[in-house]
Amino acid sequence: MHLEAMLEKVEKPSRYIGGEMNTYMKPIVPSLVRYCFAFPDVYEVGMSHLGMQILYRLLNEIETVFCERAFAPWTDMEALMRENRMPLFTLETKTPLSEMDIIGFTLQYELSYSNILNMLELSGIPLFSKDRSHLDPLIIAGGPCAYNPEPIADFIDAFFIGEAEELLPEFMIVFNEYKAGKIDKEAMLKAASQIEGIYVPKFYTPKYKEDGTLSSFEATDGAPAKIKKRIIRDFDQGFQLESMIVPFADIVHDRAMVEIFRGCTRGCRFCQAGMLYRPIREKKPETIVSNAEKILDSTGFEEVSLASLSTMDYSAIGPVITSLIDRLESRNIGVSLPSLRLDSFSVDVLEEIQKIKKTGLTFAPEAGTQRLRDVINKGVSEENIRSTFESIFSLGWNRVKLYFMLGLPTETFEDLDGINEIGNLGTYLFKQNKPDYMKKNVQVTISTSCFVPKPFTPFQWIGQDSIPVFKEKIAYLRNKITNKKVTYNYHDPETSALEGVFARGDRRLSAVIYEAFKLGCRFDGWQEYFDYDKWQEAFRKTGVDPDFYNTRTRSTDELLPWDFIDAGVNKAYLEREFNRAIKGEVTEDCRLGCTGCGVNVNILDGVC
Amino acid sequence: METLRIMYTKTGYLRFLGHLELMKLFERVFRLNHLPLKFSEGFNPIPKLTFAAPLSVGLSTEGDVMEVQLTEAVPLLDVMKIQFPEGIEIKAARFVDAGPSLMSKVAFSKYRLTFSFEEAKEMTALNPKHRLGELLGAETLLYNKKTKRGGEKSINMLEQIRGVDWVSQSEGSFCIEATLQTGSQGSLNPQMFIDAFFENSIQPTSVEILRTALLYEGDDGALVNLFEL
Repeated sequence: MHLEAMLEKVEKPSRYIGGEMNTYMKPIVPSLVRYCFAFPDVYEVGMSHLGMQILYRLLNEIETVFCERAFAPWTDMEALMRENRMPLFTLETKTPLSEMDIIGFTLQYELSYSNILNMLELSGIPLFSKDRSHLDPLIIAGGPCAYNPEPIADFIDAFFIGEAEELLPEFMIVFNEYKAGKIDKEAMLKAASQIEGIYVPKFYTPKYKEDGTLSSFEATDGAPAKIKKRIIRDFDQGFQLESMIVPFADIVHDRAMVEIFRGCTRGCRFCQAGMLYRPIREKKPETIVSNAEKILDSTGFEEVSLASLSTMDYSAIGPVITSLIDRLESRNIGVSLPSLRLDSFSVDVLEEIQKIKKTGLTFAPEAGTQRLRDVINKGVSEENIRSTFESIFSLGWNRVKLYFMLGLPTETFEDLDGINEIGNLGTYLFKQNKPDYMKKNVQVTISTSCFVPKPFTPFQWIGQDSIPVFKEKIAYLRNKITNKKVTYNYHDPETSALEGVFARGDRRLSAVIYEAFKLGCRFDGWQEYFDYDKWQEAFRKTGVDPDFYNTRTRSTDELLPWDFIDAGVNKAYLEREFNRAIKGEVTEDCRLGCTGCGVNVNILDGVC
Repeated sequence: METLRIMYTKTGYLRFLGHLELMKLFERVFRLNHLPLKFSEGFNPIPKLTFAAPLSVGLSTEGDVMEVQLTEAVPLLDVMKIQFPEGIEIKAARFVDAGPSLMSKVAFSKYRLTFSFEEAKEMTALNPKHRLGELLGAETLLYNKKTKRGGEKSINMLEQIRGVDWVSQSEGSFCIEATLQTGSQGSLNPQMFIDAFFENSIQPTSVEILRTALLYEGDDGALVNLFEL
């Protein structure tokens, strides 16, 4: 069966056809570097990822490189492909991935690892780096999970740590030498390992103590002992995303996106992104407006989103929004914000951008009591929560979603009671504040996820709650929440437990991932495909104990699998923050005064 | 306010776009070409695009018809220059006076159906010309269709077939053109017709379905291209 006949049989065939607006086609000549950007999840998820849009254009602006895309085929398509022995292909030219020079995977979440193996296997490419020769594509990876690359180190030839805007073009120079036949694969990898930010696992050897912890992590072949993350210093200079691929399919984030800053100064102790993407670097308002107009003029999107880790913290957020609305309102183009803080300023801005339409609002108090919010350094006070409820309800909203995490360090049942109380506070304040015309009833949705301790955060040493403990807490809350106007949703703890294993895992987990993949694991981030029993079987077969990785509390002098990566923040700072957390001491936003994380010294020349 | 009527193709890989995806694409292409779109009033202003008859995912068309409301007229030459992703092309465009909607007037679709067989003798055994005569000569040709209320009703397919013309045949393949009911009075999916044609017989290895035109019924009962309405 050929491709078109298969497309007639699958769900959402537009996922596989390519040819969207602003995609590239280049004449194929022998010297062209064929690069495939591979996203180990389905099209709608991958295409919503801003990093993909950036790298796609960045690479295609290099004349000697042709970047195409591949996503994980959905299970119906995979079955047809296997049945018809059709290899995984790129969307642009429908070329089998095995004919690419480089396949670059993006690592956005740990539960996509089995999909990486599946995509390699569907391409007929050997899964393990050691089994691939110069005839196979080079397999590279980057993204937030690359900060602890060890669980998939056996499969990936080189990891790119940090921001790729400058790093990838630098690597391309080395790769061109290899492509031209001037150096062999070994020499190319050695040269790559000398580029700041590139980690080549084969040049590093982990050794373990009898108790299973790391005893040493030795660099060989002249590779550096520490891999320092790469960043872009000046966000207004260099590559700017001024156009985007316009998907046909209805993707998760189907809109123009302008990144307004990188980094975050809040210092929430559970948040890995807040630590990894330091220091804060803002784009100038005029760059933001110019980026937005150029993207909209080349895509026809009807909405633009201002993306960042904490958009309301942008220093000139008010003027930027006003300026965008002035320019875009007459064209019926909306402005949206991905995240809102619980404070009155956010509500004012919201009022401006959502002039009439009152869709539901989402806020993340994260924890139910002030004590626990102080432990995690989530700078949200009871007063913030109360006044936000008061203003949104008096302005005519009636639906609000609240996100919390279960299993935060030091959590007690009182903190869970606090979650219930915030829900009740919401329904009470609705009655007190709703305008006269409001005829609808209030609807408060409480969603809980299970906390996963992550590397490079103050909680990187702490044991994660076990599955039974999570279940007990969920059951407790389900019982506790009796208010009929409050809906309670929760994530099952099994996926978070697995995420917890890989987040802080080491190289011995490669064997587990391989085994689980062989047992049929795919799309582990999708509830309908996640099969915890198969994963347990994979742990059993490989003799690896998952508890060693997720529920075990480490001592602060333990050598951690990701210690060889320099993410900019000092381990001493993380330990200090950990101690403050346990004591319930808050640390201020570092815009108000440096808190000494070390990124200014380690990555910059002294000042953020 | 001006109504711009467009006849367009949808072929190649773009035949795999769903109807909603197609509508979104038109809106975005119009936006980025700065067409002066007329938006609906109300909380959530949306541009006014109407498509005469949705086409099933996977089917191609050489001449479907849609309309978009503009706040003012634009030169038609500029409209003809609008570029879509490969597979969609504007074939014709004109401004029309306000009148009955495309959806209420469309009555028939003309489909060109091409069937290929692995081996020429399979087709000979089938004797498609004879089969066609047999099919159209039957008294009734009933099939069940799901109703909106979840029930089923029995429909006589022959009443939905305006005519079938023999186009051509060669070694192992033949081509017919079928004019089938489309629109508010009822629609016959070409696949239903094909299923009936090949019921209890040798199946072709490939089937190509191309809608060549959307038609309305003039006062004299003659069929006219919907674009001319």
